[in-house]
Amino acid sequence: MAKFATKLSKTSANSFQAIGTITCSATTRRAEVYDLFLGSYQSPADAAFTYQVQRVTTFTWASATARVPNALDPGNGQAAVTVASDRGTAEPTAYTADAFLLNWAMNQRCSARWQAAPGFGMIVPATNLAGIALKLEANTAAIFECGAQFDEF
Amino acid sequence: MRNAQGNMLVMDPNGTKTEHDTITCGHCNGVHVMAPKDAYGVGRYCTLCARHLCPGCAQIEKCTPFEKRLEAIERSTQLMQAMGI
Repeated sequence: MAKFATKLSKTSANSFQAIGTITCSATTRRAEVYDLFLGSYQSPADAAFTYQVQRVTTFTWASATARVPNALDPGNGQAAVTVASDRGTAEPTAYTADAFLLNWAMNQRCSARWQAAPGFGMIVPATNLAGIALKLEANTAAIFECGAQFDEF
Repeated sequence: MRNAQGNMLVMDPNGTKTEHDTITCGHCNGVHVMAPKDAYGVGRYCTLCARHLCPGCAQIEKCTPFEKRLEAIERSTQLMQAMGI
């Protein structure tokens, strides 16, 4: 068990749905995403968004930036096999149809945090290029920032 | 809700905080935000795997725990890798 944290961000240059993804890069360990916090640092505006967490399989995202997750305990000496990505130049491929793990609508001025009790997080399978994507229901140029914490086991 | 499986906290710019309990479906791993004091907002409780189910999975009679689905996903990938696909 090793806990990691990462950040995902969507800039105004990315005028599409995805904010970021958390996927597995190997077949050795699963991950459980247990904490997500999301908000927008754009100039305040009254705009409503529907946020979604959706599964991805055989995921590819053109020119995405890989975010190396940081261990919450620097002494664990274990590198993450889970990969976080954001800021691609097009919509990522291979969202799993109808596999929504979390949906909620919220004004852009609000921020939200979801925390799972131990054992009740969203599971990233130990399968290369499979995992979850944090996204919006519709394309937008709005700026978002997301933090995520997960546990590999 | 007693024994909530998660918590969703929404912070408004005027300082108001709204908290909701969440449940995680034992069959699809989806997270469902519960309305306050809504004990019946979830689909149902699966007595076979002893987990709460979302309304979508509650319509399906068969019990397929998410762990079983995960194993199937991982096995199919391992098989494809072994075959060099």
